[in-house]
Amino acid sequence: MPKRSPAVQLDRAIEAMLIALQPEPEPNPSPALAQLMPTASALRDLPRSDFKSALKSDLQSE
Amino acid sequence: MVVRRAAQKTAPQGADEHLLVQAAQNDPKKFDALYELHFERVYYFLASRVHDRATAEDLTSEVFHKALANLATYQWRGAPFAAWLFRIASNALVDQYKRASREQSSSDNAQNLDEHPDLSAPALETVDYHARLFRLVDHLPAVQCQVIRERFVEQRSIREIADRLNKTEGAIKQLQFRALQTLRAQMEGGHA
Repeated sequence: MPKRSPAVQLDRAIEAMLIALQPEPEPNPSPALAQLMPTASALRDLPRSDFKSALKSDLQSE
Repeated sequence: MVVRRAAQKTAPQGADEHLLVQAAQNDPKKFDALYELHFERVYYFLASRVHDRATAEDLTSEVFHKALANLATYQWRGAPFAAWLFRIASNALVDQYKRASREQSSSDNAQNLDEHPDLSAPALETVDYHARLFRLVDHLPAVQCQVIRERFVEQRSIREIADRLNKTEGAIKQLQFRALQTLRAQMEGGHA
């Protein structure tokens, strides 16, 4: 099997994370995968930007 | 890419923050500055404990409305303003836990809520880490920012994002990869 690109490996790991599945182990993991997954994991709680702006407007109208 | 100063925004310390609080106490319209400084912290503090976006948004809204309503009673004692917000957030979490326990005693929501929020220094460092990361997303190139938001907030598939942006799936994966490289580098204070 040809080696997957780092971007494809990363996306497979992110997809598994987002649907709460254990990712299949990469046969030839890129070093970037281990470096970037903690950042990807931390983004799961990223707030909606329109929520932030809506709440700000709401507070301004009080 | 050099780390952008705006994205590194952290809460002002001591006297500076006291001035912001005083300004907001004198004129509630100036609460905006405190909101901008602390929104991501409060949101992450709550979201990481309730594990549900809608509940996190409801509680974040409750915290800031309460903070604004009670700002006149806030007394500066040298502790960061965030500590006061986290106390309000902790109380909101406990109330939410009680409501969820009453209404859905066997639900996942009730089981997942953290009844005793951790306000230790390491826990608050984690909050600051996430708050800084969230702010950095807005400073990514526009298309990378959109990919990250669609993927992680809207939880769209790569194919959906590719269709929406009229790009190939491979291009979206590359944009996602580059965005994460940039964010990681900036979080480490280095270069992307």
